[in-house]
Amino acid sequence: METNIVFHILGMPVSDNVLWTWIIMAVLIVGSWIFTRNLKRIPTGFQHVIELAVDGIEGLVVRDIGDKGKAFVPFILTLGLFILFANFAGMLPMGVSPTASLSTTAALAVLVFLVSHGAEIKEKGLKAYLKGYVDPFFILLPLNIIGEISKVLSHAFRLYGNLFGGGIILGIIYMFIPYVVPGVLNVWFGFFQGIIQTAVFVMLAIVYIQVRL
Amino acid sequence: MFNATEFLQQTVNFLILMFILHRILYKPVRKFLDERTAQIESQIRSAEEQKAAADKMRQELELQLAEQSRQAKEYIDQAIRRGEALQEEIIAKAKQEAEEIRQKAILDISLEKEKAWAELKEGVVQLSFELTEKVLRSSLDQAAHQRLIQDALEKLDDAQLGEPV
Repeated sequence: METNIVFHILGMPVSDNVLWTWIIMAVLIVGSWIFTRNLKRIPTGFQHVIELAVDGIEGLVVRDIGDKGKAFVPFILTLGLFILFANFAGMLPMGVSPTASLSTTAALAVLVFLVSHGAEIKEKGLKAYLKGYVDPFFILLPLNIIGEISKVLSHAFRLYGNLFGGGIILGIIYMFIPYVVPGVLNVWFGFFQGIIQTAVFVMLAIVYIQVRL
Repeated sequence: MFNATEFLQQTVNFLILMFILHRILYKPVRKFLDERTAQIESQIRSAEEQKAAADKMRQELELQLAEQSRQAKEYIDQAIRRGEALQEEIIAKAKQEAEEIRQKAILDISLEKEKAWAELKEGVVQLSFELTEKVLRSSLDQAAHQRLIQDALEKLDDAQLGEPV
């Protein structure tokens, strides 16, 4: 599937995925700015959602990683919010899910890889980190490297495949029966799958960090 | 399918988003939640301290109340005892006074009786004199006259008209 270039900035191509990523970023930034301006001691309305998101993600991270995991909460929180909104973007008219692009999911998976491995190096030191690749025997070094690369690939392809596959199924069904079933399927592939895939990606990210520490 | 430029752009986009959300979402909300938690903990601690103080005060008041009840009971008992003692004293005094009145009355009666008896005897003697004088005016001498009077008085004593009490 070809990348759909929308326009260029200073000669740099901007695809529809990147454009929608910027839209999602704008929504998240403006929304966060608006809804955190006047936090009330007794929460009302959307403040519940914000508190639930921050407290919920922190609870998940601390439960799995412990108190030292608090440093990763902003990363995991951003990951969860971005993927959720990116997944939902596909439900909008003319909307594009950036997470239905392998480039986006690979970027996220590589960032999870870098964060988890960087945390291990910081926690245990470079020597202990490198030694982990030859445990229990030196001969297992290629397998260990392949294992780590596989984690990144599976992490990226799982989200991409689910979103991209859901989009293709919806597209095919739209062509055959455009007025009856798509509404229900849209809810399933857009809403429920969006939430489920976000949860899966975030949980895997937490686990990948946790096993490294 | 995979586009390296897009990959790099999305990586940078995500890092920018993380940086901004950390500043405008996570930090303020976390700070707010921490402050609220601290406030709630402080209020709970304050409520517990107030409850402990109230419990202590209640116990002290209960002790004071018990002490006051005990003192009040003691005062009442003392008052009852004093009342009973006073009652006995009044009764004894009244009895004594009654006895004194009775003795005085008996004495007065006795004196009045003796007085009456003496007057009666004197009257009888006088009457005897007069009668004897009338009956025997002409025939009896002075000696016989005296003897008759003496006999009359002895008979009067023997008749046991009553002894002074």
